[in-house]
Amino acid sequence: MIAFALMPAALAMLLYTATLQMGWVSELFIGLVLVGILFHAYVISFRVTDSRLSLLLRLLIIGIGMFLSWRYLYWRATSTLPMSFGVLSAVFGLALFLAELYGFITTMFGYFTNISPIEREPVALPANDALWPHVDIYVPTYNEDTSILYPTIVAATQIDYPREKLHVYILDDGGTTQKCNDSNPEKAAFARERKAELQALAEKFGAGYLTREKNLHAKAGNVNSALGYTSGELILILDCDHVPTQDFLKNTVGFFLRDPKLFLVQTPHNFINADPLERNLGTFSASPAENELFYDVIQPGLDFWGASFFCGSAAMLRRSVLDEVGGIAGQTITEDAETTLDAMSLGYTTMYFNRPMVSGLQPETYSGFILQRSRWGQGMLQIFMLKNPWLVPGISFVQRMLYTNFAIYWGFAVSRLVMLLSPVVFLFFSANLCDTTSEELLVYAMPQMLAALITTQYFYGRVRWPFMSQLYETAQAIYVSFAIVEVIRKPRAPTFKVTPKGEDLNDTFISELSWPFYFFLVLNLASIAFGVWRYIDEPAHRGMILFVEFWAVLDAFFLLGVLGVLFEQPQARKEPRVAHQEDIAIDGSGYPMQAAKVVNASMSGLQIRLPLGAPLPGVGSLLQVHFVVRQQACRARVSRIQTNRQGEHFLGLSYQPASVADERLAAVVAFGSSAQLLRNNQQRHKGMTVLGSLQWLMYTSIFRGGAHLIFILRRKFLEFYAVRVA
Amino acid sequence: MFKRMLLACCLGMMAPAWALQLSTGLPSAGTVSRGSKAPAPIKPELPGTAIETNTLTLAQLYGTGGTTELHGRDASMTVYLPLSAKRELLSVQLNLQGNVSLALVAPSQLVVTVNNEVVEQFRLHGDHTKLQADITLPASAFRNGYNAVRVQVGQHYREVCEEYFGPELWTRLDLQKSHFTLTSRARMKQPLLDGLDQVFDKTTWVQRPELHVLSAGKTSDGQLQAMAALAQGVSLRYEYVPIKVYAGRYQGVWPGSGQVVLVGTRAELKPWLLDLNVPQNDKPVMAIRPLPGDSSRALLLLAANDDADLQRLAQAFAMRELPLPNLSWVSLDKLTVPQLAKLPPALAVQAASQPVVPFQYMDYKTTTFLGIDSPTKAMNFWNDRWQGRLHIRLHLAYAAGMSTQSALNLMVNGVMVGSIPLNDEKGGQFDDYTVSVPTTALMPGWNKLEIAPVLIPLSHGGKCMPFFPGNLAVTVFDDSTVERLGGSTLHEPNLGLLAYTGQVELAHVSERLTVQMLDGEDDTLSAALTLLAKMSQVQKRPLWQVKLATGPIAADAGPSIVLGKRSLLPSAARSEIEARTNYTIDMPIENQALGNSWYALFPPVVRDFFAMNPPAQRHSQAEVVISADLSRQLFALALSRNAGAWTIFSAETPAVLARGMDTLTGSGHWGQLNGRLAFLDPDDEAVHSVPVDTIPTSAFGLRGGLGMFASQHPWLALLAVLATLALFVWLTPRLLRFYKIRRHPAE
Repeated sequence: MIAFALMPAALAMLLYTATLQMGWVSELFIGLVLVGILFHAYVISFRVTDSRLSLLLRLLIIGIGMFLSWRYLYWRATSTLPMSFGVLSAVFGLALFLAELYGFITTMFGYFTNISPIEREPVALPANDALWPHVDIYVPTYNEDTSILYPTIVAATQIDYPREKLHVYILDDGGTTQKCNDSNPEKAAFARERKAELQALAEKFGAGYLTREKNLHAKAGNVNSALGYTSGELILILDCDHVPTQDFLKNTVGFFLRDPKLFLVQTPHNFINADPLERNLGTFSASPAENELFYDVIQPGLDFWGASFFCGSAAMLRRSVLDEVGGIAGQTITEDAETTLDAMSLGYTTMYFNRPMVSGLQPETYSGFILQRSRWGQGMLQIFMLKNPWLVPGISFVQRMLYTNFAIYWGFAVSRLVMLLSPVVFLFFSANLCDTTSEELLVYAMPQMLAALITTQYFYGRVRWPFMSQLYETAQAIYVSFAIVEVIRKPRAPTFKVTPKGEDLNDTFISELSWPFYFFLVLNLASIAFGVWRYIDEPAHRGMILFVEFWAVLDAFFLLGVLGVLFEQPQARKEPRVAHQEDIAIDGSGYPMQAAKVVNASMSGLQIRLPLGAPLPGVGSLLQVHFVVRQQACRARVSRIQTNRQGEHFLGLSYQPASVADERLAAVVAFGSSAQLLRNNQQRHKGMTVLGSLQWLMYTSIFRGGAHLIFILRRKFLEFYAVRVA
Repeated sequence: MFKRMLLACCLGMMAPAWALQLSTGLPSAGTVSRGSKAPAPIKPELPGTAIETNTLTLAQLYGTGGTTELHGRDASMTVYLPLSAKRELLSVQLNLQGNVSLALVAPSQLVVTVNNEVVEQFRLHGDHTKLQADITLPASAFRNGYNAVRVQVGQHYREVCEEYFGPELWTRLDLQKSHFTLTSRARMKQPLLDGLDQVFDKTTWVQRPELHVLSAGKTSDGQLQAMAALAQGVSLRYEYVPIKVYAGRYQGVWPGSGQVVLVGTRAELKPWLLDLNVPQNDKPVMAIRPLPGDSSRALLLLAANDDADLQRLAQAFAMRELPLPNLSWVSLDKLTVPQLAKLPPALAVQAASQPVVPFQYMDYKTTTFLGIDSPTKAMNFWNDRWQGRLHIRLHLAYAAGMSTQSALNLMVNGVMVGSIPLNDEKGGQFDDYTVSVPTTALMPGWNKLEIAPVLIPLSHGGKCMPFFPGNLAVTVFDDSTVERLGGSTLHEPNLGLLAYTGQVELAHVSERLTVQMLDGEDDTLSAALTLLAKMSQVQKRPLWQVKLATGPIAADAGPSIVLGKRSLLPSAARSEIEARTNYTIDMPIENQALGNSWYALFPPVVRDFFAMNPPAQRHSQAEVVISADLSRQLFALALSRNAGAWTIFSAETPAVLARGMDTLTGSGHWGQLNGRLAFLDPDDEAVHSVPVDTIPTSAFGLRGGLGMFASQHPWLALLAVLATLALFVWLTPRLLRFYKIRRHPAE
């Protein structure tokens, strides 16, 4: 009780102290000492294993971050707004301040969310499996290739759960009566052919096939339609490319048995292919996946506050609650989050279990990526506008607040645009965007920026390299801004657009969405050049010009980096492979039994490493692969042999399945173990220092962005030359 | 008929707030009261016999002492010499004393005009740097009222190409030594009720006109209230000329000077009413006649048979604008006064308490500032806010043809707070030009706002360039406003408020103000009436809410003014200004900006705590005990009480109290009244205030003060921040644990 009474006072005191107008020496002194403490707390946090001490360090970091951010914002709001320097300065100055205010709000939400993330352990199922509930697994699909669904269905039908209680269904919205009778004969034929393939696939692996008359309400309608045909007490929804591990149900069903009010268990979306940024900038193997920031850091934080939400796939839902809320909601295009809100308003709870248990695909191209992100942004904004969390009854204040945060998060796009334009406006038009002096920047801005870097590294460094967020934000800023404006203009206008997956990328090409970035880059580079001239010409303003030049140069790197992302590279592999460590043995006709280690695996094959000195089989030879621990074997053909500098040989093996059991084995090996997926992710959690990341950004931007520009110039030159020759 | 129309008009104007009915003896009136012309033996105008000589210094007329400099090629100063209708001016001598610049050459000259008529001129020359001139001004050039006497100089230091404002071009006049010598005699004129303004004449040369308010019999409570209203009525007719009021009982001898008012019953005043043909009835009567034995003075009579009538009669008299007939007497048939709560506060009170007030409320009238050396116009305003800001919104117009460097500067307490550019050569107008006055420029209590035009012609002359004084003019309209923003109301009592508003506090302006006399001495009553006369002049209207009372004051009395001997003061007040026979003063050692009572923002309990335990650095005070002969001192003390503020005037004896009050209510002293405690010697020039209340407002306050402290002690500030962080870090896990147990019991 005392803590409850004192806490507001402590917070108020902290914020009040931050707003005291002191002399700049005192301000700088306090700021630097706090940054020093912050840095030491950050360093120590890596060595601390005691959870209590770890929490105290986290709170100290949050407290200092909050103090310095609030101090900076208060100073910006009360001392620096350029309202007396003309309309241009006032408008852009205010816009810049609002962008910073947005950053402050999201930072505070970040602190709040991450104050005490929950690490959950699976709840054991009763020994008597008669008490286990029936589970329906829904795999909704619309127009994806059968090959995309194949591993998902194979893996889903062999999840470790009593067969009689496991019911897998393909929910095919591409095979509806409406689609099969499409007025376009080609489309109709394609739909019927695909339907037949999926029915065969389902039949082969013991799954059900469900479709419906019409394609109403997209994915939500598809799932709701299926609810009428199945009867499982729990429903696992998997996107068609989300291949589940074998332990999915055993890790999640227990939560529902323990808590009758539990509506949802969400698990991470784990991706095994590279998104366009990772692929085109070559960071896939080293950098953590972009979505890990959300699934590995934010969702556990949200879970603590009871605000984790349904993300459309890899989630278990309680049917009775779905029935109560009228099925999956369909008012917005983010039906998942909307449904969670409906269930929460009836008093049901949600939780998040942070263990990767699906292997999914990300959109391969920039355009697919933008399509997906625009839908997410529009959907969350739609929820805020059409089903405002502050008006929904029955949910807690914190849940309302965090749902608000989900909506405003997408404001980053507009904020980033302002950040891109601000230096241009300053350098070109001499507009005073922040009425301040270099001393004040040193006193207020510098400690805040350092604190922001340190706290960001502390919370997200494991799953996000420094400057990577800015790169992602820059890549999305323009198109997501348009999408947001569209929702604001017409909240009900956006419709559900399926994210394209499994696209073929055979050639190098420039994304058709590149042109706005040329404009911004030209503007940016011109302003930098103009800034240099101003630096020489205006000695009185050199401090400020230098600061903004630095900012503009950083923006230039981001823009060049985005051009690198837009320079789409070919994808060598037809299907994604998952890193995998397992001991095997191989033998074949004329090839003696030889121990080997699996390096990676996919549905169609393996890459294995032979010990040094081991004999090499010939390319094309047929081998028997023995999975020692599993005590299973299958046939595979040697498709490729590679040797590294150390002389180690790597064999590419293509499975030659002789039975359904062989196909199931391939799926289990590649995607069956959540422990393997976890290890794979952790391999990428090494982090990167700020300077290292800056160096990487500069290098990558120059070379990948430069390659983009050279490619364009070369093509234009060739076109010009061809015309001249002709 | 005209009188009837005038009265009807007056009644119409008063309705419905006021209802007044006078009987003047008109035949058609329902009542038969009748006024009459003066009795036959008294002629309308009689030649006076006594010739008087009066001396008025220019300082008295100009309102400021010291010297004034006439600078530039063309400079002047104007004083306004009053001339009463009751005086016949026989001769006027102007004695000018000062210094002339050594550089002046022919044809430099000095010209004196009276009401724009040139009456004298002579040369000025650097050979005669001492200016000593006796100038005879023709008496015929003067008329009743105010006469503009202008001293104008044309000054040159070379024949050609001289700078218009060359530093050599000056003449200084010593305002204290320069003076008028006026010879006059009284005009013997029958006083009538329509000429009360001439009886109580503001154009008098007497510095402090005297008023004797006498009662014919025993002074009753109603007579006390009537005397209070009478004193106010007289003072309002004198407008800004402070008066001395003497109260007492008529003992058969008339006072030797000043005007006299006699109050009593019809029977008591019968001897003086009889020859005025006042009907024999019970109606309250107001009458005027020459003072027996001195026809140059008037005797005002207020007769009524009961206290209520007498009080109403006096209240009617206090309404200066009431058009009384040109008769010797009038009886009052009816007077209905509105309820106190329905009365709007006086303008001075509104000026001090309303968030937005026009300049009019602060005694400012629309003024056109002309020429190069246009004088600064000052007005005082009361600031009752702590940490508040002030917006001055000006309505002004300025002439075409001025240099773009022209500006209208605004100063608050001598500090420039804003400058309005008058930079359009085509002239211009601002309806609402806002100047924000920073907090640090404001003082709690009295503040001085100055409008200082700097009007610069298009051509400055010099270097043989032609000089065009141009069309230099800017008008600042009196609908310009002062707006108070934010801040909190001051809780510290301040004597300055009384001086400024005629009110002891602003919180209870619609309540009755008791003037409590602790004894029944005539001197105490005189002091009270003198004070009330002054207060009504400040408020420019009668103080309807005032009630005079005699006896000890109740501890729970509301807003009050207390007058009396020190020995009779309530203990709470006595302990503030007096401990035994000594005076104890809590004297701040250092009067610095940081010494603001920022704790005034807090509730009384907190305020009192801080007031008792002032921070050492800010409110280091010395307890000074003065042991001396203080029997000649008048003390003024502002006390804050729960039921309302008290302002206490006290002295060793009633005689000192009366004398002290006479001095205090004079122009020079009244404006000095300030602070919580003030005292003065009746023969001294200065009012001494304990300066604790004169500390300027600052931008600091609690936040600013802490910020300043943190700036001066970075280590302590850091410790405070770390302590707050530690508190946050210590408390949060407890809350999180509580939340976790409640929300996630299984985890």
